[in-house]
This record gives sequence, structure tokens and C-alpha cells, in this order.
Amino acid sequence: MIVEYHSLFIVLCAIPIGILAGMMPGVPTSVVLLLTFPVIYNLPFDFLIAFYAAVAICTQFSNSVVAIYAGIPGDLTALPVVRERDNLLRLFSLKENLYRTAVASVFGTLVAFLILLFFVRYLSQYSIFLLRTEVLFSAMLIIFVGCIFWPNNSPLTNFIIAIIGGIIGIVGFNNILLIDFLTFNNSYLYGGIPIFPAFIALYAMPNLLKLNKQKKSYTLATDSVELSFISGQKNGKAVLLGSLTGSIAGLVPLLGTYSSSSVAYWFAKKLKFNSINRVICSESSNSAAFIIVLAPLLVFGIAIVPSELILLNLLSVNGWVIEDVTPKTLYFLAGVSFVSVVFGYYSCTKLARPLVNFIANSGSWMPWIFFLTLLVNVYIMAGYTNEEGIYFITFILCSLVSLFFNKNNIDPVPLIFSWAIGEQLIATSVRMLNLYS
Amino acid sequence: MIKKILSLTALAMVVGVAQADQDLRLVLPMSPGGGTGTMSKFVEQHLEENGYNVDLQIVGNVANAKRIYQDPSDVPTIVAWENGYLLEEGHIGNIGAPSSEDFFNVWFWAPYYACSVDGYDDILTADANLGLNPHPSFPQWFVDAIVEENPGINPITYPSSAEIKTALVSGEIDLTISDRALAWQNEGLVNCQYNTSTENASGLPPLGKAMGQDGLGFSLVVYSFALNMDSETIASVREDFQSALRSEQVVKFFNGRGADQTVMQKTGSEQLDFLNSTLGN
Repeated sequence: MIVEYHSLFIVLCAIPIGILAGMMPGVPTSVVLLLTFPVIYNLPFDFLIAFYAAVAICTQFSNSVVAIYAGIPGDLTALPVVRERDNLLRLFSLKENLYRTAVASVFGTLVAFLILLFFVRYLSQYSIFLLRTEVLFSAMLIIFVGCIFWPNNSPLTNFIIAIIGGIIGIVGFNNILLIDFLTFNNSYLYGGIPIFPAFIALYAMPNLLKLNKQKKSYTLATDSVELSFISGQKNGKAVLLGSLTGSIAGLVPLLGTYSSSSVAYWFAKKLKFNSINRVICSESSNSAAFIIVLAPLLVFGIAIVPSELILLNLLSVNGWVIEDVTPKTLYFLAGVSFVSVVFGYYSCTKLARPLVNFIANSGSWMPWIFFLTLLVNVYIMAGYTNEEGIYFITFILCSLVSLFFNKNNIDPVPLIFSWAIGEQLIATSVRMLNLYS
Repeated sequence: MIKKILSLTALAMVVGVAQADQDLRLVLPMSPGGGTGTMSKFVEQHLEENGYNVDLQIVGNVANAKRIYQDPSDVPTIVAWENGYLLEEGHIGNIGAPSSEDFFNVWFWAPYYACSVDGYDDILTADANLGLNPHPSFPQWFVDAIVEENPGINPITYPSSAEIKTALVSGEIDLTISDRALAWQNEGLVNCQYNTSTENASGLPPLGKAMGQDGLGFSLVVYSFALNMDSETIASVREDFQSALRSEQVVKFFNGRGADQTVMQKTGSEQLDFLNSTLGN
């Protein structure tokens, strides 16, 4: 029981961590997982999944706060809010804007969670055919296609780095094909090239560089129009449209979560919603998308967004299999998500100003603390896996590649994803051939 | 006063040394969530409750395990291994059969079971897809012998038992050979016809014998060898280790798996004989 309480405490800590991280550009859910690695590494499966959900929910809540209050999109999902910010602040009080976007996030999260529950329970009971090799193979192919069309690079660049990532991903002794691939008879390579240090060097650290740069652009809003707290706007249609859009768009591998808010925003514009309803639609869609991404993980055991990739790796190294998803997993997840929504709402409506002010005035030490924590975590991860040599070499090489990518404005996400799915894609392809040969 | 403090400190140090736990490193090449990995955690717990300071390293693969136990170190070490690692010539885990000097003990023995879903014949006659555990737990030579006996079956390898079970439920495969299949029979998912060892197990006849090859069989034996220990230490640690293997938690864990897996109750020399006969030495 002591272990359970300890784990529960760590899961509840995810809520304030997620709220703070969401207010910092460059600290998405994936980076939070890497920063907290030493404390979450040994969490029981259900607790680890709940930790992830709490961080994801809370970051999405506070993401919109910093977009409205400071004019900074924490990530691509907050772009519609920043686009409408001037209109919003001209027409409504800051308080009302924060309140309405928080309510949109509450409904988006809850609607998506209900869909997720139905999805996982229904699929696991009646639709086990979805776990067939053909479906898994198709899902992985879609992820690979998602890599090719990743919007931040040209398709040619994506294709090249995705192929390189895929090749790196299959290095090692393959338990299915029973061959060593590109190990050059070096026993350090038999276990494959670890993705954790690569993720930190290629993705987390460059993201953190944005924090100081973007903090300088914070333009803190003041209440220019003092309206009543609730101005009588009706937002039901916008919330519903956004929640459903996010619950569908979020299932598109890689692109879904990032584009869900923009897709909902586009629908809202087409339907001629006013400014606040356009933002509410995109916000509820964004929150819904970050919950629904758990469906492929809990049903198929595959990751479709970078943060899930970290989660899945953490789960896998501790021997997690899809059979470990039980009704208890879902009930616990529901409980933690509910608490996260309540605290997320409270923080975004009552604590927004002090928190954003704290981050805006925190000086340049914060990213450096995160940098150092990540470096220490590479060392700790290497120690846990007894693969110090290959971890450090991978980290150093990927840091050099990261500098090259940064200089040439290349987003590493397609490389990381194809690296992560490389081995599984090969194994599934071979199984497909065996099944149909 | 100073003298008194010094003497008390010295006494405390002596008592501390006398009560120091014995360091013991336990290296496993398996994955942390697998059967042996879970079992080793119970063993670790039991040993720690009985005066050992255990450094349990579940390192996921054979290459890692080799790197760790071959590092120069004088820490008494027990390395877990399984017979699958020895049987495939040229495999990275091929360290050679253990000698009587470094052999420590057998942890458990487990046969595999050949089973089919409703509506399908047994593995020797059915024309169907056969789901298998991955190498090295299940050797290719055994699969080859089965395919030669029944060319109508199509062997497909899955990364884990969980995925074999999913494939059975989804209808992707109709036959399986797995160490977990007896538990699946208890769930009503399959009907088991054979076990894969050379002897009867769980009331099921040996598959090799049914194929007319008396010596053909394969079962999983997890055993261990000792490093950095003299014979006296081996004897004392072995006794505590065997009591850990027979502890309530380990036995409960094995019973919960619903398979005919046997935690070794034999003495050291009987275990070595058993291991050598299993390995064909």
C-alpha cells in the first residue's frame, strides 16, 4: 500500500507540473515525461498512463491561457487563439476569455473521455479483429505516411529522414527475423540504438531553446473592456462541434493533435461563428484530441504522437503488454482525468495571472535547469538499462545532428517516429508476408 | 570522554560489520515484465529479508547480461540463463553448457503446449496458421521437424505470448505452441493436445513421440551459474536461494500462471544431472 500511495502522490503531482509546463513554450507533454523520468520510471502501468493523461490534460488547459494572456502560442495547437486574441481582448474581459476557454477545455476533455471509454471498452470486447496483423500493419503504414507529410518540412526532406530513422530503428538483433542488422558484430549494438537519448537531443533540447526566446515576446494583456463576468454568449454548439472534431481528428497519427484545433477553427469560420465561439471550438477540439490519442495506445499498443512514444517506451521497458489494460486502468484514468480537469479549470481561471507573470519574470535560469535535468536523466536512464556506452554515444551524435537540423530548419519528428516504429514495422511486415504467402 | 566516544564508535563499527548484509548481484537477460523477471523480484525480496543486499539487474537481452557478468568485479554474482540460449549454434547467447564448477541451480522447468481452437484438428493434421513464441525460447529445429511432419501448417512468429493470444482470439491463427497455452485452455480459448517435452506433462503426451521421434522434445529450463564465489559461499547462498525459489510469493505466482511449470525442488547434484540430460550432454 505504501508503494501505491507513493505512486498516487506522483500522479497527482502531474497536475501542477502540467499546468506550469503548458504555460511554457517548448515544454510539451513529451518533454515533461523526459524531465520527470527518474520518478516515473518505476510507476505501475496504470499510474504511468494516468500520469501521462494528467500532464496532457493540464498542459492543454494552460496552453490557451498563455496564448490569450501573453500572446504566445505554446505550440501549433494554440495558433487559432493567438490569431483571434486581439478581437477577444477588444470584445470581452480577460477574465471572461479565460473562463470560456477553460470551460471549452473542460467539455472537450470530458466528451473525448466518454468517447475513449466507449471506444476502448467496445473495441476490446467486440472488435478484437481490429488487433489483427493487417490492421496493425495499416496503422503503422499510416504513421509512416504521416511522417512523409509532416507539415514542418518538405515531403522530400521528410522522406529522407524517415528512411534514415527507419534504418536506425532496425539496428540490432531482430528476435523475429533472427538476424543481426547493421551491428557489425559489436555486442553494444545487439540491443539496438536507444531512442531515449535521441529524443532528448533531437527534440527536447531544441524545444527548450524556444522558451527564453519566446518569453521575450510575452505581451501581457490587461483588461481593456470591463464587461460583466458572463456576457450571455451561447457556446454550446461551438463546444460540441469542437469536441467531436477533436475526437475524430486526434486519431490521425502524428498530424491529428496538432491540426485538430485548426480544423475545428476552419469549421467554425465556415459556419460563421463569432470570434469567441471560433476560439472555443478550437480549444475544445484541442483538448479532446489530446485525450482521444490514448485510444490507439490502449487498444493497439501503438503511439501516434511524440509524447505517447515516450510513454510507450517507458511502459515497454517495464514489460507492459496490451493485456495489462483492464477496466481498473480505465476507471483509474477516469478518476485522475476528472481531478485534472477540476484543477485545470481552477488554475486557468483563478491562477492564470500569477502563474504567467511568474514564468514571464523568471529570468533565463529556467531552461538551463531543464537542460541540466535532461542531461542528468540521460545518465540515469543509461544506468537503469546498463547501456551507458551506447546511450552516451547516441546522445552526443544526436546532439550534433540536432545542431545541423536547427541550422537548416529541419524538424526531427519524422526521423524520431520512423526510428521508433522501424523494428515493429519490419516485424509486422514479415508477419503479413507469412500470413499471405 | 573522548576515549568513551571512540570506543563506542569502534564498537558500533564492529557491530555494523558483523551485521552487514551479504552483497549478491543477480543478472537476468530477460525482460522485466516477463515470467522470470517477475519471479526474480520475489526472489530478491525474499533474499533481502534474509540478510542479503541484492543488486538485481534485469537487463533485457543476452548481450547486456554478458557485458555485465564479464566485467571485472569481485561481487558474488548469480547469472540466470535459459536452455534456449544454448541450443542455436552461433547465436549471440551461446556461452556453452555450464560446467559443474560454476553451475548454481535450476530455477524452474516449463514445457510448451500444442493446442488448437475449436473446429481445428491437432497440430499434426490441421491445415492452418500456427502461432509461435519467438526465438530463442522456442528453437527453430523443433519447428522444422513439425513442418516436415505436417506441411499444411504455416508457422508465424509473434513477439510475445500476449500477441499469440490476441491472434487466437481474432482468428488470425488456429493453432499455437506456447508455454501459456494451458492457461488459455482453462479460459476456454483452446484445446491442448500435446506437450513439447519428452515426458508426459499435465496429462498431455509428448509431441515428439506422436511424431514417431522418441528423443525429440523441447522445454524451457531457466537455470543459473555462479561467479566470484568459492565453493563454501556457493553452498550457503544456494540454500538461501532455493528457499527463496520456494517462497510463498514465487509458488503463488507459478500457480497463478495455470501451467505445469515446476519450481525446482531437487538437490544441487540432481539439478545438474537434470540440466545435462535436458541439454543432451
